[in-house]
Amino acid sequence: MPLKAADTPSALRPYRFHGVNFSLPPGSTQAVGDCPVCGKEGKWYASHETGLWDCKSCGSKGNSIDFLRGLWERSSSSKTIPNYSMTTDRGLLHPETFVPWGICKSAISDEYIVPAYSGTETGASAKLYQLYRYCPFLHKGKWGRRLMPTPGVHEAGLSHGIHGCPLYDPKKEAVYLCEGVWDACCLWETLNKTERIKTVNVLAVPSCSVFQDSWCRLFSGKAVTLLFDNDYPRQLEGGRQTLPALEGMQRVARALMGDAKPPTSVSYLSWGKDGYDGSLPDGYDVRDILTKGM
Amino acid sequence: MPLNPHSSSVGIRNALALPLTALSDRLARLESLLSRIAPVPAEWVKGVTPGSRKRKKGDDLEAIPCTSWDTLVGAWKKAMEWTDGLDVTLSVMLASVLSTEALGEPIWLIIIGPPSTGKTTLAEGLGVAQGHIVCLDVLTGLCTGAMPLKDAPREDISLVERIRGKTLIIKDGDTLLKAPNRSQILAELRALYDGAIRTHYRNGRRPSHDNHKVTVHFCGTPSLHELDAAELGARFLHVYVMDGIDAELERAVNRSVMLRAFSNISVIANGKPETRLDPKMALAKGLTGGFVNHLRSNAEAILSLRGGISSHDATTIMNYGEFISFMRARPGKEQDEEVYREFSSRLVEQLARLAACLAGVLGKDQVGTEVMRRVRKVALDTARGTTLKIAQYLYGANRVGMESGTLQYLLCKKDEKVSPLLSFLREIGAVEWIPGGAGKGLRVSPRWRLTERLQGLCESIWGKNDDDAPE
Repeated sequence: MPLKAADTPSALRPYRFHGVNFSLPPGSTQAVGDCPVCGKEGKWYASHETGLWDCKSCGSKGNSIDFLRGLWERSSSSKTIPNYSMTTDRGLLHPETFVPWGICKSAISDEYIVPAYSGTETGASAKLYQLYRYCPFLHKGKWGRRLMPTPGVHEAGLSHGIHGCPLYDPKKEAVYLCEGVWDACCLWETLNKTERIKTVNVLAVPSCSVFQDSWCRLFSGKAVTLLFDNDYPRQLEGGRQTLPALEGMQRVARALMGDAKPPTSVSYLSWGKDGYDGSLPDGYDVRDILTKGM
Repeated sequence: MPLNPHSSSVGIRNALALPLTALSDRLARLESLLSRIAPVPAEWVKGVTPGSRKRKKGDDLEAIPCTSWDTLVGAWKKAMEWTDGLDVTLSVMLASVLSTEALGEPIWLIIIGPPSTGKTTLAEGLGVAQGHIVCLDVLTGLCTGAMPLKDAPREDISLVERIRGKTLIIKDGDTLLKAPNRSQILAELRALYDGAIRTHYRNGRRPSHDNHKVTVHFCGTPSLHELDAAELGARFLHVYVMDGIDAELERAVNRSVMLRAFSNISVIANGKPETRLDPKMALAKGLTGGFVNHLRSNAEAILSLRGGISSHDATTIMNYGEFISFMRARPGKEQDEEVYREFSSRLVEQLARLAACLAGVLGKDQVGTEVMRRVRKVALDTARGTTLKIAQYLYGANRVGMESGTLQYLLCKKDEKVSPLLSFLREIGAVEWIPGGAGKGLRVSPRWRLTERLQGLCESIWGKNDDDAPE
């Protein structure tokens, strides 16, 4: 019987997260399951202590990051282009926009997966650092979908990656940083039809509250524009108010300008003098502007 | 200048053919979006100055305090993902070790690993960290030099005196440990560590040598597996076996080295080395994946979506990719269960790396027989990281590439005695053995040569060499 979520050792959570079917026999240190590479049943073994896995049938093996990279490579090479409903749902005009961003359907779970990178390499050399899954998510009593990072791959605080590194060209002078990969895809798709794409890179952080110092190198010497959402004020405990997206941009700006090699300039998407535009809905973003206007 | 979406002459000829009506709306809204862009307010970055967030040379890591090798390995794994070069990674790591463990009480650090896994770079990194390094290939005597008992103005040239305040690094210590008098040598090391410099090598004793402690770092090879830690006494920080404990670290090291080779090539120009980027090689590597003998199935799509690549360059990149994937093919089944599997796969990566270096160093019109002869030299001499030295030679350092004459002799004499690498290369169809013979006054020496397939791949990349001498 497959392991329940609560019973899954932390080292095996990455595999369970992406739908690998396995069980942990009582008293055993090795989980046994169906190989996600060759599909053979009962040939896949993974240590619940180290997370290292191997298949006795096809011989593939590795750790959790190897698994993610292999999963993404297999999924993206299957040439399955996301369908039109997903395309329109995400605000794009053409499904093939997903391809250069590496967005594809998982070869295991058939859910959409999105790669993210460490930021140390770009272009064809970019190595997958994290793999997000577009999975159902219950929020305030309503089901929706959200991109979730694979758990258990990296240490706490380092679990997120930045999107768009394979398309990054260091020769371009400017970088647009979006909040979320969907905004970045939409913006990139539109920019790609203009001459601006020759001078602009488009990257995306997973959320407005995430920015790793190691990503600063991508913005060194560039003209940076931060394009976060139109978040309304949020009430915190103790009565303090916060503007998540605006404060996120402030943090990013400070991190960039404090780097040893700062950008040439930092600009931001100014929604309003109060940090947001009350005439637009809460959470209005770049995608909304491009699809619905202002 | 933005495209005029209303112009009938606008042709959208790429994979992203978009409906014109929706596109025109998007373009208009894009302008509206961009009109809201403003410079960040000054108060956002008030008090922030460039460099106030310090970044170390080449990476963004702060020195991570490490209290154990397990933590250090974790830091190294993170560093490998975040830095561009192996050297910097190790310097950062070593700084972490030294900052927390090596100051004050001396330590012994034993680093055991297969060839070309960074042991020497680790040792050199210590020199960077401490500013001094005394590196011995073979420990011939710790306390050479004599000091007469009577007062005589004679400089003490003993090693102990020379390394006072420094770090003693014993490189490739297996040579030392294979010595017949290993126990005595180890006893001397223990004495050094304990601060009691009294050995029968010395004719006398200097008072200043008393209680002189030395920090010893010992870089070895897998032969140190045979060492009983008790022989060295309870003086270790840790005995760390790189190949046994952490295969993923080894893979990370190899990937980093491989990546570095494909993204930077040193070229000798006007007598001086300079580094140029070879974006075609980097792109080609991205078209391969894992240990498979072919390109990724969507290789062409990746290239086409990349944009800005001419058809000629695309052909070159695809040829590079074919070559790389061929060289990285998975070892054969009979080697899977043997220790040489990892050894061979690592060396294949090094060969691919060297081929990439050669493409830049020698120039495309020179690659062919000359290049592959040098690659073969690498195949013949695979001991203890000499491939890296050969790579240094190819980069332009003044050093002659080493070739194992003994091994070559054995190869010529009896093809059963084949190095693991050559055996693997033969299995994947990269090389073949041509037995010698005599005929019509000519005597043909037995030799290895490239297979037709590999020759064809090389020619597709670098063109046919005018030298028709068979390789």
